[in-house]
Amino acid sequence: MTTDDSQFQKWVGDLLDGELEAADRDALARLCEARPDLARRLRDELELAEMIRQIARDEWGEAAFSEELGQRLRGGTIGVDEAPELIQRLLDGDLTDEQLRSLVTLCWRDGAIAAEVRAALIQDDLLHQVVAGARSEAAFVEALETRMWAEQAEDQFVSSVASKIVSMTPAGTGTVSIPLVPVAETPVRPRRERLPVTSIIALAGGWAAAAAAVVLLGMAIQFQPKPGAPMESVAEVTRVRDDVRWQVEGAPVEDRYFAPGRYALESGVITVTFGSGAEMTVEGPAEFEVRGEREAFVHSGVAVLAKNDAVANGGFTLGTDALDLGESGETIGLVANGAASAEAVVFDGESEICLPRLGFCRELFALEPVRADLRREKLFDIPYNPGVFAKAWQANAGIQGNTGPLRVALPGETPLTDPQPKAGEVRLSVEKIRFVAAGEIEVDTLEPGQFAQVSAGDGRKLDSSGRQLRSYLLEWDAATGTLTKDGEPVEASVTFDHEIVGVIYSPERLADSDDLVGAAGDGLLAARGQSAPGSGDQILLSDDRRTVNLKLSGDGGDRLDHVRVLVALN
Amino acid sequence: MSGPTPENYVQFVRQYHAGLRAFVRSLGVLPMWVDDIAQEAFIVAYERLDEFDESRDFGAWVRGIARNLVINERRKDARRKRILADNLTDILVRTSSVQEDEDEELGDYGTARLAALRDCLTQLPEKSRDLIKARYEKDEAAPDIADRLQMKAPAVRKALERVRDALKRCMEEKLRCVAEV
Repeated sequence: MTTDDSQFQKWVGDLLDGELEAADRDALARLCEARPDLARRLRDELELAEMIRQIARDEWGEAAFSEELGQRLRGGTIGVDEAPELIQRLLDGDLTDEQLRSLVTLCWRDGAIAAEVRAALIQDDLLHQVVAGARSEAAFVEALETRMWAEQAEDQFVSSVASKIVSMTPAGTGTVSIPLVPVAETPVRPRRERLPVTSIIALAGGWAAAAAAVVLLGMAIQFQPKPGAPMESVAEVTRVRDDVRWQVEGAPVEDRYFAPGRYALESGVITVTFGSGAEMTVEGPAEFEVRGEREAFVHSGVAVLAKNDAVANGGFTLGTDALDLGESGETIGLVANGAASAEAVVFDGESEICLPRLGFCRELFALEPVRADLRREKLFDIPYNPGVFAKAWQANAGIQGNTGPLRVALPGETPLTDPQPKAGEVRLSVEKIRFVAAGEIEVDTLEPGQFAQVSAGDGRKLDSSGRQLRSYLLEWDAATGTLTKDGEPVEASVTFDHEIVGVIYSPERLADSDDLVGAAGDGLLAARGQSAPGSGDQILLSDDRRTVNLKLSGDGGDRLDHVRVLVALN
Repeated sequence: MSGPTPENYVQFVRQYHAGLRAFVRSLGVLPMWVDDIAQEAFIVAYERLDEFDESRDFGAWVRGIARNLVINERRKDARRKRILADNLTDILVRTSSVQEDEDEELGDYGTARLAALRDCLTQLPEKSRDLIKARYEKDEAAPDIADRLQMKAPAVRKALERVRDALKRCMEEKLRCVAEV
């Protein structure tokens, strides 16, 4: 190395460190003018330094930046002969951060190595395409067609989902990755005789009350099964809908008590309450496992999980063969199709979804439906189709039944996304699935057992301190008058699983309670509530405080258009 | 084949997917996201078919789209990135080519390469084929394969390296033979 070369090296080092004196800078300029080869080296050094600076700013941090720069200025300590080993490790996914930085340095230093890396990656991917069936041409084309269909479908939910940026993370980088527990296949079993339909009230009034008491006592304690229940019980059926049938040997004890094991529901809809407070509603036909107070696994069928108190009590894990859902997210819908695939959507909150067999996790936004397909080794965004969860959702939402032109809104359908109920219907939405009121709520005074004219009048304070409440909203388009038929009043009713503790229909009280339940409020809803006397609309709260009945006359003047119903969950 | 249209688009996908996927991987995209980004490139291309100049090479055009998608990954925050490392992608993108008037891209003729590779695989000794299947079909890591075969992880890595080299030589030889014919 000549004197000029060594002086050049020092000046460049000072320049990059921001310590080059003005006199030396002039001398460096003169040297570069005289030596085009050094001028070119200076350009390279500056370009490289800028790139490294950007990289350092992005993610490496100052220490890595200094190390890299120093290494480069020293002429590099990494030998070119290390490249093949580093490339092989890259292909094997075994590169440490330090090795990765070394490989990048080599690539920047020698374009041939960069080309070698690219060639190796190409060869590796082609090999993967040839060997892995899931990456065959047919699988790729089919997956592409599915995505094109999904991304171009005219669906309002798809549009909203498309606007969200999907985040994905490899497993093991701070995200939840839940290992699958292998489960022996259950042989096909003969059918059982049909069981009589059990009244939901009978079950809810008995065992659900016991379960609720457990919730009140604090979910950290061990689950206390109902007297007479097997001691190993970790969950129980608390609600049933339709004709419930179980497969022989696939039924819980007394069709009610679950010990850890695998169960097969042939038909009907059941809600299973776990010791942790979580509730899972399953629609038959379905096969699922109860694995403990905080874990369930669905092999096939439709399920809606409400984590409830389990969220704050050690969490609850819901898995399928194809995907697992992380600890967050309060209400989750799941469709499992055996080992092949599963669909999931978080109705409330956000969650993490993991595909253990493919080794990655990603975030799942609220109302972002996805399908995990193990055959294609893919996770797809799919159109939002809450209809598949309709039965399970209604049961899970604590809506026992309804009559008249009353429709239960599906999750994701809110006054914000669908501002008006359909013509001729009374829409019932779950406004807030679970909340504890910060203070008193003023509700309208309504005596149970008799129809009352709806008019703005007296209210009463609902002492809700410490109580877990759920809020529902009944709404219809009062302005068009489409609910009445030939001038006759139209009746609609809804029965809830839980006791109604307050009904609100006067505009002021509706507005006052909007914030509490996260409702849109007057600003977005054109007209609401009833204030004018003599409208003719009537409302009835049943004696058992579980049913609200509406008689809508369609008389002139302002008419009732919103009713908020509060039920107590504990 | 005439230019791509909505009607014949799938034929173009079939013709170009292998090279495009390999190209995407060559830019430092994590293996599990390669097909995802390649599909996005095909979708973007499909949505912009009316912008495609039929005098150009479709493969180069869709490669350019894919390259932009990969560059966009740099802007995402770390948890959402589908690339191994920004700095690696920087240099790999810089040395890649998407223009048809430049040197051939490494992943060009992907379908022909696939066919040659498939043929070469059948010629491998059974033990080598098992090793490749374990790594590429079952996605087993070298230490896992080593455990199962009662080998040491470095030995597995070395064996994989040798098999890959053999396959590469075999593939290139076959492609050369085809070109000469």
